[in-house]
Amino acid sequence: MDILDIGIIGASTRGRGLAEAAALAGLNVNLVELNKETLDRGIRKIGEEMDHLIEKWGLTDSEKKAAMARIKGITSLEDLEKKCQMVIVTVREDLDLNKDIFARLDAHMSPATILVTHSAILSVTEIATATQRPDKVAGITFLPPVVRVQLGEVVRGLKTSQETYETVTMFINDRLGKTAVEVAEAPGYISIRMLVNMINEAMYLVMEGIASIEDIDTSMKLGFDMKRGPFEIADKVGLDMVLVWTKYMYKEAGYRYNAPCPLLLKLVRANNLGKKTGEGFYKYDESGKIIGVGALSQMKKWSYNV
Amino acid sequence: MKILVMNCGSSSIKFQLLNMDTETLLVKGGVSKIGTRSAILDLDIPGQEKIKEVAEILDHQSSLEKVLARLMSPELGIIKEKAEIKAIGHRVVHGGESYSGSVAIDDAVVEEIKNLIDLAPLHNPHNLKGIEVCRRIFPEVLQVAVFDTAFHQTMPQASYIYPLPYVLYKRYKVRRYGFHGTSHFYVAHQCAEMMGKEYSKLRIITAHLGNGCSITAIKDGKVLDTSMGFTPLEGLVMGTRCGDIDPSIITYIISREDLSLHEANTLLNKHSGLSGISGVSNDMKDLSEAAADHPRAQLAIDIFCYRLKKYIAGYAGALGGVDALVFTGGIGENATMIREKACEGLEFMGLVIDKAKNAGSRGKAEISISDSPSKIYCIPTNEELVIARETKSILGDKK
Repeated sequence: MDILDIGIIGASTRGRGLAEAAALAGLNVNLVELNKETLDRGIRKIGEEMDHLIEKWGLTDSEKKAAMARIKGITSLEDLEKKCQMVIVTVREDLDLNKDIFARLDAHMSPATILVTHSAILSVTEIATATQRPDKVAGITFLPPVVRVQLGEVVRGLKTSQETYETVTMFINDRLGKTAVEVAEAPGYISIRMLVNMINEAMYLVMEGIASIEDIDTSMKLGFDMKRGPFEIADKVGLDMVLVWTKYMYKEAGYRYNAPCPLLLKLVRANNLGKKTGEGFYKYDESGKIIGVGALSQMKKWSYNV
Repeated sequence: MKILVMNCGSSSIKFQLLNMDTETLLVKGGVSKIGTRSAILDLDIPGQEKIKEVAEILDHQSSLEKVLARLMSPELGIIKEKAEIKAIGHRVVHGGESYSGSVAIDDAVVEEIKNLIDLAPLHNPHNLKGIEVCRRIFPEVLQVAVFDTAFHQTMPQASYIYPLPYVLYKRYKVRRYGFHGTSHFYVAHQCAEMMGKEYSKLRIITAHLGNGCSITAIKDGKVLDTSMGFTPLEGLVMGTRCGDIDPSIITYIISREDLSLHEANTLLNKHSGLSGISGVSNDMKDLSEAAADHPRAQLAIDIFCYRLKKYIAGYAGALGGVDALVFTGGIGENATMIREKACEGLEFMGLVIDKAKNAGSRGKAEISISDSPSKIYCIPTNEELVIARETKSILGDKK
């Protein structure tokens, strides 16, 4: 089955990023968001994201126009075109909410439609139990910004069929032009599991007074040819998100992982969530450029005493 | 004998159906925006009103099937049955070093065109799709691939090897290939015919100036040099492509603006050229109209003509003199001002344009003064006719 029309549920960061990438790749996108205001803002933001791509020379005006015309905003799940070959759910990482949406999609969509959860942590197998088509349920994880990151993880649930797995892989490789990797269901899959552990470890390094935020980032960047260091990545992802993931990993398989570093809790409580709030481990100017280290720099003495 | 000529893009097909007994066009047209609910089907039958239809057409196969159904419909009746089409010629952009001429398509050829996707990722996959669709719809009919690069395979090594480590040529086949070969070939032959001289004894410079621009030096019927290189990015200034630049600029900008390879590529291919300089348009017609009010529109035109002139003079030197200069392509055929500006100052080497003839020319015309030592021509290109002729000749060989 070829994928030409997709539904995306949720116009938050992940949904928007995916809608943008899919529309730019020539797919027809039905973006579903219950709140009309959030939907309009979401579509406007996709346009702004494309403007950034134009500024970065990655896109032309006419390509943007064509891509935006392929995105259709919808405010009710039941108005989604039944024939969409794939629906990707990108709502909050809440199991009950996801199950409810999957049950409704199962009732509404064509029997051939593949239902996909875009989640870093929820169990595909468990979500699939809410439907009559567990063989046609799979998981996908893209890292932000979806347009730029060339990776897509395809998650197999216990009952995901080979055909469904192959179609989702084809969607990532051939339709979106990215590279798909296969993962079995496990907390954090590949990228989030590796990332969360690296970021958490980097924070403990700081807390134990072993090295500064900047020097840790510099070491990882120069030493391992990484484009960004762990703290830059954490700020970019959003510290609230990092905390959700770290907590989850700890809860699901705690005997193998460290508890979330207290520094992370502290910053999240202070609403220093990273790039999006203007301050996390680093401080940012309005264009998102790093202008210095954030509030933790004043806590050095405190941190030595842990 | 009816021959179908196909040119497939990522979301479009273009075709012409020709009667090759008389070399007349029966119908041309195409389908654009394939894969959407509002795909557009165009048919243009000489002497009749143009037909345009908007419909949901999801892939190349159904596009061609739809076109055929229209051609066979009682109201048009251009053909009665599929079997009337005796052969199909396909435009294929890249033939690499494998093809210096057109070939009958079989599984091995399809495989080789697939292998060449690496060199022409934007074109060969779609050309290939057209071939596969036609092989499915017309399993019994001869299909021929005509390559944009084939004519340029006559180039000498000194013209096609880049001054890079030779091992890169060995490893990745990095070399000059040249493009628009079919067009250069056609207008060069037309030129010889208009001069009444033997094609294989002439020194001709052909300038194909369209959306993409390239210029070719032809000596004794063989390509001596051509401006497009490993990809269609090198050479002249184009609508949105930069042409020749210092390659270090690319690495410098990548590091200054933190660009990905894709972004750097798009910068050079889609944001540069006439559009990038002027900030007004990539269309020479728009620029000519805007030039009076927009200094950068004028600048874009000046740079375009200046660089074109350098190539003409350079190639004249490489050829050891020039018998004829030919302009073709959308800009070459229509922009009288560009032709005049590009020839300005080249009188010393025998190219003397006749301003009045140039300004008044429509279609195929000589535009140099009558006693100009070297001739200047404006010749509309016709790549489809070349493809149909090549296809017919291979069909004849097969019989």
